[in-house]
Amino acid sequence: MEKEILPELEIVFQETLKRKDLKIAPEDILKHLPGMDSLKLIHLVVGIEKRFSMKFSTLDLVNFKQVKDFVEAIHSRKK
Amino acid sequence: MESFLELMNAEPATDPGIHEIKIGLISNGGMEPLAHMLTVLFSRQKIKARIFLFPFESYLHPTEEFLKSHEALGLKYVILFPLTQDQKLRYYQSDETMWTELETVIKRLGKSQLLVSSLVLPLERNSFSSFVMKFNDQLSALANQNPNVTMVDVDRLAGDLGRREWFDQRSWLISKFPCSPTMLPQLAHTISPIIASREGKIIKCIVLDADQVLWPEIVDEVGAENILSPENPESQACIEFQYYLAELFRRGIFLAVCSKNEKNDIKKIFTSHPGMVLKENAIASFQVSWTDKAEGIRNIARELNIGLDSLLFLDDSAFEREFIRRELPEVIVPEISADSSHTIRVLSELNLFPEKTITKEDKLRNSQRAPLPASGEGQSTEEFLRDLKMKGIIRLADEKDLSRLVQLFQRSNQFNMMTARYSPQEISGILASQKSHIVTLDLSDRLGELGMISALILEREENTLEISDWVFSCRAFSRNLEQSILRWLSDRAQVSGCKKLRGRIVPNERNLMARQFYEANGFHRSHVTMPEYWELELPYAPSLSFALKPVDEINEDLWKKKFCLN
Repeated sequence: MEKEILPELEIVFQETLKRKDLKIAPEDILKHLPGMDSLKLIHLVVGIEKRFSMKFSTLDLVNFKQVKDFVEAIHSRKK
Repeated sequence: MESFLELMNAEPATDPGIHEIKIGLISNGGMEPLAHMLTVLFSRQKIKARIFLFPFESYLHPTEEFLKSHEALGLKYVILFPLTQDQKLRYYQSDETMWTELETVIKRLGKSQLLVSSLVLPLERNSFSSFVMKFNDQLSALANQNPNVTMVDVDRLAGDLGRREWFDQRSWLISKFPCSPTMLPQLAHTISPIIASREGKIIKCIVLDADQVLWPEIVDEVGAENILSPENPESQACIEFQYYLAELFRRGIFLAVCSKNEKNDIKKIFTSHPGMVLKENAIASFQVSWTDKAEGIRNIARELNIGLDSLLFLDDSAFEREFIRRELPEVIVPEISADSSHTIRVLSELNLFPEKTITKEDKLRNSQRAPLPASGEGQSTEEFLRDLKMKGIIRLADEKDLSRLVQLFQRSNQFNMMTARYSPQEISGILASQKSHIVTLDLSDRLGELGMISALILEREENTLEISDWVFSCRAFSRNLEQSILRWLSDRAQVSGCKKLRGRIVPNERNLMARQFYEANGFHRSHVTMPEYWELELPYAPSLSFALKPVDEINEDLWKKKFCLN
């Protein structure tokens, strides 16, 4: 199940950061991704929430540091 | 309305036009997304906006250098968001400072036209919310006194969208957004028309489809007498929509009908159907035929002498909307359906009337003037013009004329020499200056009053009287009035000791007639520069079969002070 989430997540990252060939890995640190800043983060969150039909809480977002944090949250919500 | 993601991912239109304006966006939040959305919206109206973001703090405690570079930037508009979450916390320490801070910043913003956002009333009912109410009242009062300050009622917008939806703690904590990201498109759509209209992008006419927009039925199916049937619950919604349009009509917006129907049926409905709120005299142009609507809309623009970009087209048919968007991309075509109450909401969201004042000329535009009769059989143009019994008054403008002057310079496109959309402050500056002033012509004829239809910015330089800018309302074209003004000016200039008149113009695709005017009236091009300068050795003595002799109400003392050399 987690394996299915990453490719879809990658598309949202590519659209938000406007980089068509961006590849993401679970260990990637969010703020180190090319073009990422605090403003892009909310843009990213809105995109992810729309794509996966879910909502993150403030607490989630403040604590997310790596791509895998998103993957886990999406996975647990989808159960 | 586009969603946050749609508008964030949109790119500015590929041809944003050459019309560039500099806008400052000052706040303490993350404003890049709003700046991007505004850039996109402006580009769709052929305005190339360069938006500069600044933190509020840099205007509170500015360095000399910062103030100098701000001045050098020359921002035409500044959008100011005075609220931040931090300030909310600071409030609990001291309340008056927030207002005085705003006043200080406003002073430092000097010559820019200011759009100041009201604070959004918080959900908590406590002393902070009373503070916000007081703050907004003060802001509203300031905007009323100061013609350079406009309040953007963001609190009203938040109320419309739902205050609970507006605030978004996590967007603030993570990205310092002033509100939930989903609200940003609406915020952008509230702000952009205010600036766009001051740059001349004004909706002057609403073109209406008839079936299922003005009445719920299709005339072809039920017959002209049976529309607006009381049995049909939709009829009431359409009637309310007609009342809404009637209100726009009274405020000076033209209404036109573009319908695929039998002309006689439609005419009959507008002249004799008892249920109609809008009658024939409310409609400036009827384009009813079975040919395509692009042709009809072009005819309307031509008939009313307005640009396609000042037309708004309402049609419940997705096909027609798409067709017009493709054929006439300048026409504004909002997404609507056959649900009239929804259409009213869509029109309200478009913020068609961003200006706070309605001028006398707005109310006169659609007043009970009989249509200008075509010159009668065998009647010469001279007889026709004489028959109009025109009366014109020429005088020097004063502060009371500010709204109308700003409006005239904003709305005129064809007879507009410089296409400079002056701010109220700039107009006041001209009126107060030592060597220049504005001359105006007010017109009425036997059909009614037209109000102020022309304005000239004059400046004296040695033995030349320069027309630095000149606008003329298209409502009064073809009456030899432009030449009449020139003749009056020629006499005045000579008496004041001038030897020459000089006019200047920046030609563009819209003001061809203005450029041709100088040439056709004996002016010759004096320098090869931009703007172009055209000169005429006095006197100007045209051979006109008819010219108006305006009533001269010039304040002689003021004229002497400004335009006579000592």
